[in-house]
Amino acid sequence: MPSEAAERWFALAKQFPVSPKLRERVLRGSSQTDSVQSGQLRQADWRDISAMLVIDQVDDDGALAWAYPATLEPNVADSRAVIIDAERTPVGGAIGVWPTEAAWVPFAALDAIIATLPPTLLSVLRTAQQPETLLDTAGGVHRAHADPSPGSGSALGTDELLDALETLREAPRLTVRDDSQPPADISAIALPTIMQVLRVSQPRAMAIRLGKEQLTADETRALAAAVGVTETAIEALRLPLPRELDRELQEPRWRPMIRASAVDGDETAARAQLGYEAFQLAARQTGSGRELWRQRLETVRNLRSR
Amino acid sequence: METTIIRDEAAALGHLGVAALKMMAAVFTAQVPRFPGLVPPDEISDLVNQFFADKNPGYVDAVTAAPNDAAATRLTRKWAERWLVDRVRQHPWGALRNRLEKRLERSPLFAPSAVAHYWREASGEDADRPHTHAQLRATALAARVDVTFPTGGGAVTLGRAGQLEELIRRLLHVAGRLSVSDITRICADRFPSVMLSGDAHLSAVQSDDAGLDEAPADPDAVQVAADRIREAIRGETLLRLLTDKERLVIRHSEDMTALARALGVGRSSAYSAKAQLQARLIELAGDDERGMAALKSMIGLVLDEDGAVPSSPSDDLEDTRAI
Repeated sequence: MPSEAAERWFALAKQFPVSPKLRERVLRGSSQTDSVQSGQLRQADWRDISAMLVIDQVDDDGALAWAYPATLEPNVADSRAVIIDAERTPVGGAIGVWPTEAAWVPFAALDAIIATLPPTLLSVLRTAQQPETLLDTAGGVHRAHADPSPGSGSALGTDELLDALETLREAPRLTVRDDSQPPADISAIALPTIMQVLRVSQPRAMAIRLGKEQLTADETRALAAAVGVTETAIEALRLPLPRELDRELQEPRWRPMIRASAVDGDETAARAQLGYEAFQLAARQTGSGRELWRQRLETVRNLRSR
Repeated sequence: METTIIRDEAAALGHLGVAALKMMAAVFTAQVPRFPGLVPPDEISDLVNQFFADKNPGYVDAVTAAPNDAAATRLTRKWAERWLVDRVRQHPWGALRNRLEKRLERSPLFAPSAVAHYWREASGEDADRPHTHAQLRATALAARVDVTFPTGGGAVTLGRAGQLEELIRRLLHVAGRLSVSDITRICADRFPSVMLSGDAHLSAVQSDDAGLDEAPADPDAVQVAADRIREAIRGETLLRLLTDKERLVIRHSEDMTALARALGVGRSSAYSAKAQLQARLIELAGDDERGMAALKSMIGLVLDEDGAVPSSPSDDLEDTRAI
């Protein structure tokens, strides 16, 4: 790029700073402590498809959010959109929101918080879910006037956003199952056998025997051969993750860590792996509950970043 | 390994930095050649700056919120593509506005309003009448205007003598008075091909249906048979004007899920593709009775085609977007 044009670009960059709140969040490691709450404007992405969402309601048990598709892109709106004027938003520019197109989106698709809308704005958006309701335009919120002409940038942008919402809805949901499965048979395999076959330390062998560690396919095969049982029998030794840990793992605060360790973008496997690492820690600790699992996951994060 | 250099730089500086500039320049260098005639290659950096000025402050926050550099690049590519689409549309837009303004000035049917850039019927009063955009759109669609595409490219002709004037007169009759911009917007919707300058398949059109216009409606059996044959011929002529994507839309127009799958897009995009096709078909065939009959005959031909439709029209999609 010619230096003159680059200079002009840098002047523009300084003229349009990042919203202070957003910058603060990115600096302190994004959403690590924030849970999903109504009023949040969040980044969401799944399978390389991204969109922004305004969270209206949260189904905490199901780890689902009732969310409106939204965009910060200027001049992208159709007659269903509600525009929040720049002066009223907690970010630098206007926000376009489609309250009539709301959907339940799994937490697994949610990402960083961009901003939080004040409750008054959220309630205006809720009212706007009824397409016929008149909005109080004095509040800096108005409906877009008409549909954009077909094939225009605005029409393409709207279509893409609503299509993205369809993809986001298909992110994996928390599977609710009951915790009453019998514990693994502790006496099934002798500790030294595990240590020898898998060449692991005693604490890790103990975790494996307790069913608190996820084995790789190779390890499963080796152990099955050594003990003389089927691979399925070895897999059956593994305990399912406790329900509360499973639920905590859905929180977007763990998403950056899950994404960083995902192989070929397989976040489901990376999430399970993270879960078993925290589960292993619990082998040597007592207690349960969401808060304790959060602390253990925090410990895993610290261990990993060492 | 995913990188977050763009975001980290933005957080550290408080505004976008070198990594973002490099990414934007790369995106535009790849995108601009898809929009022929927009700018010479050495002016791409100007486009980057204009886009940056136009799309802020929303763009800065959106890029900073993207989880990694790859996502920031994807977002920029999409925003840039839409922005370039609109820029290209502005070119024919200006030309259409000029043409309409000239027609308004020349015709004794119209007179300038006291409000600058507004026009009214010469015989009507200079005042607004209550109306909706949908009404105007419907009025424009109901008017008969024959669109002819010259062989070998060149300007599309909008209507035979007086047809376009009649359309504008009806619009003004509904609205009382309208600005040139409003009339241009309505005509751009009514005649999307005018906006598709440089659309390759349009140059293949043959205006061999001129003789059909003289045929009066006659219940005579021979006449009916002749009409049918003409409709069939016109249907075939229309069929040649359709792109592969448009044929796909016709095939699956009853089942949006199947259409979305066939086009490789989501359902919202599929609905838009259908609406776009409808507008184009009406524009091509006219929406009077005979036009509809020709359309039916053409749709029959498309549905009878077997296996001639490509399953992945991604090249074609790019083509139509890069108008």
